[in-house]
Amino acid sequence: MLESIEVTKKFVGKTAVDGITMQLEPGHIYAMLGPNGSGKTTWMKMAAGLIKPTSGQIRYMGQPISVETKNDIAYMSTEPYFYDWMTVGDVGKYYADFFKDFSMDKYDYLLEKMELLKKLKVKSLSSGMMAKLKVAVTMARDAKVYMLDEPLNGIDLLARDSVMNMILMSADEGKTLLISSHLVEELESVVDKAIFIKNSKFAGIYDVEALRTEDNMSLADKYRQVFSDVDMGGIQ
Amino acid sequence: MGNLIKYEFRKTWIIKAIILVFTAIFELLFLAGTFSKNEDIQATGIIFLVLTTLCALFIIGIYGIFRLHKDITTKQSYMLFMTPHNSYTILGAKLIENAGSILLAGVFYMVLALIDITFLAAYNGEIVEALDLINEILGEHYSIDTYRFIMISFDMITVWIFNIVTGFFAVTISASVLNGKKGSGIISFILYLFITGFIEKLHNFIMDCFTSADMIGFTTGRMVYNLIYYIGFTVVMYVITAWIMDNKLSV
Repeated sequence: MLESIEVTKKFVGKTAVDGITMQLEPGHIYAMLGPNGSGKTTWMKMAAGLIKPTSGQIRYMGQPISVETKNDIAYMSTEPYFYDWMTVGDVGKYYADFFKDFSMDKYDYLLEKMELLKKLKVKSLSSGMMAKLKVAVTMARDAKVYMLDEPLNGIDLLARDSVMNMILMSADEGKTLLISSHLVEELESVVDKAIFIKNSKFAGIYDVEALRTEDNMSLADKYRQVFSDVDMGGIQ
Repeated sequence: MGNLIKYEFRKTWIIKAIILVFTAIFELLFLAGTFSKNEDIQATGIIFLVLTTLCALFIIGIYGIFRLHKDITTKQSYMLFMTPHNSYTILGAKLIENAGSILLAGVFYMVLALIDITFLAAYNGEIVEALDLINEILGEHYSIDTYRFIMISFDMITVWIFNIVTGFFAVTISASVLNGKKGSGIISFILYLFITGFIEKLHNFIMDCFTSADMIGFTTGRMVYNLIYYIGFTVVMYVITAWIMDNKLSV
């Protein structure tokens, strides 16, 4: 279980995350939804142990986030982060060197599915290919928690389908999947819970099926309802 | 930690390979000049070998600082910090790789210099006489023999490694405590100059308190003190930098 207790992160002149308290249970696929700058990425980075909260605590299985929890929590950044000199094959070797739960066989399989060649240089990849590579190398880990920050960014419709299939392959009862995205409709069919982050604050967690059956509302409708008063840069 | 060191080396091997190629070219030039008794070619080889030695140690160190800067200020930082290693291990791997490379390069150039001087002496007896004459002019405390040459070289390498770690500190301060603030680069550079200057002043002050005037120049005791002093402060700077990285750095 991943638990966020009154977590706040402040940067110079800005509060990126403001007192977020929530719990993520195994066996669920969560969508983390909110406009740009709402604090989704910052919260994920804190849960991944990349940055520390200003106050509050994130706990995994009752233990504060630390170097040890990185063995169980896999994080995928939205930006490309591999070294320029690497090939697709080198990326897999790097993960194999550092993560005991990394499976080279699964990586090879996912690369084949994504039609990515191991000899390709990372710096020569298109944004779509890069997105596939990031997802492939992250999902080739047998982690307990996967946090994917905007995995569908910059990729075409067909590639989105294969990326989502790749993500779903890793879902099972013992794992927690957290996916942030602006593409609410794309996530609606695959997630069962949705977390809303509004103005750096927790704005609710909803069961997607319950929204449909009890409130007769899609996830996209709920998104519009929650964020209707947020400045979306001119889009209403 | 072994894997971290392996990848640190992987990030820097090209620059080291280039330095080695230049060294090989100038060594060949020196040997060609010596064999053909062409003093112009020989002198050119010697001058460029000396320059390459100085540049090699400088470039390896500076490139290490540049790599750290890139590793903590770009998205590539995830490659290090998402691994199950703490900042002490990550920085430790960088320090071991960089200091190890400088030390190895230093030993390599020391050995190369000793071989070349021996080689030169065997081919040209006048060189030995010239070195003896220089040592006579320098006097007892400053004259150079093989032992002194090695000790002084190690001393210089240790001081340089301390400077590199202070560079790590400055870069880390710039990317963490001062991140987003105006003039963070300049402030951290001034901090670097202040720390290295202060440590050197303190070193000289302690030396003045415990050594007499006739010990100026080379003594084994002085060299051992220098080594311990700078290795000690290298460790101190490493611990402070890793702590800042662990607690104040947002990647």
